[in-house]
Amino acid sequence: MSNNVIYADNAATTPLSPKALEAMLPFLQNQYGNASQPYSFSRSVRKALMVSRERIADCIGASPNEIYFTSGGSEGNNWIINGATQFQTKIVTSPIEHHSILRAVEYSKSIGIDVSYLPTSSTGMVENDTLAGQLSQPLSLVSVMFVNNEIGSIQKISELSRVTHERGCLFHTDAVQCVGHLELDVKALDIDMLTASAHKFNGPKGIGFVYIKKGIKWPNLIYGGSQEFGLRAGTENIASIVGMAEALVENVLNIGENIRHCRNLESILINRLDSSGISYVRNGDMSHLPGIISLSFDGFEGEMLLHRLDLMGVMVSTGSACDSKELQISHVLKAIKMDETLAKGTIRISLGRLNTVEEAIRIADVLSKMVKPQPQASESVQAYYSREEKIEKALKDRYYKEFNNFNVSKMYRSAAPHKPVYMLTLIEAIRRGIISDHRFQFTQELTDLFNQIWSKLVSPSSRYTPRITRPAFYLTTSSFYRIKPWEGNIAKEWHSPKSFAANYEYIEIDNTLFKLLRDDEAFVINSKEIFLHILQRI
Amino acid sequence: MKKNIKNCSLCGKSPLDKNTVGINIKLRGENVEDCFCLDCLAENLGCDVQDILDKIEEFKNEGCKLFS
Repeated sequence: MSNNVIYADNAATTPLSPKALEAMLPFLQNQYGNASQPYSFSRSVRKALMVSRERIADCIGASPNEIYFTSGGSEGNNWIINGATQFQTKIVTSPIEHHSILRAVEYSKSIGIDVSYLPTSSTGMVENDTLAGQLSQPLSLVSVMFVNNEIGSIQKISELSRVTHERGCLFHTDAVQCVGHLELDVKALDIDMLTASAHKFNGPKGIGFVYIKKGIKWPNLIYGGSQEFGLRAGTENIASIVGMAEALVENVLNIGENIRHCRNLESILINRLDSSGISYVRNGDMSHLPGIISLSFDGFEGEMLLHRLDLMGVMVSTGSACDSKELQISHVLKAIKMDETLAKGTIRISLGRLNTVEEAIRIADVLSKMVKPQPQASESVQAYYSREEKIEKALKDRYYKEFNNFNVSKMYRSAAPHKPVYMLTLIEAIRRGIISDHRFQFTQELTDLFNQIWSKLVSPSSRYTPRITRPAFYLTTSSFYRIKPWEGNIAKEWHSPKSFAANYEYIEIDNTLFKLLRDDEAFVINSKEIFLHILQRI
Repeated sequence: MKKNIKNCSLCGKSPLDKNTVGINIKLRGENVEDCFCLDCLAENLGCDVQDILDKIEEFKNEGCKLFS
């Protein structure tokens, strides 16, 4: 890769880790023995195979004999779906899965297998309300991806597996975008089967693995020798298996740091876009894989943006592609019922652990320059403004959606008042001029205001305590809100307002949101209504 | 408005061939009303003419009908 290329398509594939390459080299050169041969020359190869299996199992909380090496994600997913087809079980999946699931499922359906799809929300979350009703006895297979590759939404896997198991059925997850990027324990999540692919976590291409829980008898993928416990015959690709194990262990050991790094890059990029004054819509859910940024630009074509970014040395992906006849919109964007104009103007930036802050800034600068409104002589003023209005409406809708989805208290599993009260505090502070910029300090005045609003709106008998530091920290799960610790300080909740103020340089909301809360009366009224409505439900 | 695709709207160069018109549509949007020659397009986008020629080749290889 040339030095001036910025690779921001890590959801498509990732660069090979130098450590993984180093670990692979001996098995591409001198240690070329066949692991199935009993002679001493293959001893080191057999050992490498065994150790790699153990290391990989350890990374996902599995046992070594539950790990089956494959050629990658598509093979793994096909194995699971085709296995279910051989068992004649019903298959329940979602419409936002990878094509290696969807096309395999379509084939199963074409030969008479009962197939159904779970509904998906506009933020790309698979809804499990109807799951129990879709499962049929004696056995069904549910397959839902862990992290969506286009918009990054993280599915509620433990909830889905729980409902599946209550009906005595099997649960599989395509975790290709998750393994090596998020902490994952197959036992804690009660997953029966899982698919992973090495090149998505800085391992080599052409290698992956499937986890199948001990006790589940799954049909063979390839008949032949006894490799992979007899289920997938064929001489093992030792070098790639070793590289995959090395890359996965490296990623898992640094997973917290990598997540923080990607989240920071994401925040810098989004903040930079906001500061540039351009309009866009951010797709996906608040719960998403840090680094996957799906953006839609009204009035632009995603494919055009992709090629122009490419000419500027920035590699991203698009949510639509032109075949020889027409523009094809991705099945994921269709499934979440995205407006067609916006879907056409969608790109996916996926940042990884090897991207830098400078690259995030450069991507935002190149992109904002590209989409900054430049009315052409032929474009009428009216058309220009109608586009602007449309973009503004989409932006407001995005904020309303986030406000409405304020998550629930993990402890009580019900909506907690902290975030709505905190947002009402910020609105009031902006209206009173206590906050005069989208970037502001955490002050005593803000704490007092929060306490006043709390005592006015939350019942004194509430089980919750009015601690402002809680929402001030946890609102960072919202895409519009960020906090910046002082250099060297760590980002954590800090229970006392004084400590919180001392440890954070500033708090920041999207500039666009700040302006809307300051200037747009209707937006403020609607937002307040949302927060008051949430508080009424508690 | 009828598209002005016969000559470069920046330098006046004409005629513009099918590939030049095609790459204008690809890189400036399907609703583009006028066309730039390759030199002006490269300057406008801040890249080299060779980069654009490479793009044209790729589109042709993909079978895109905007190119010949």
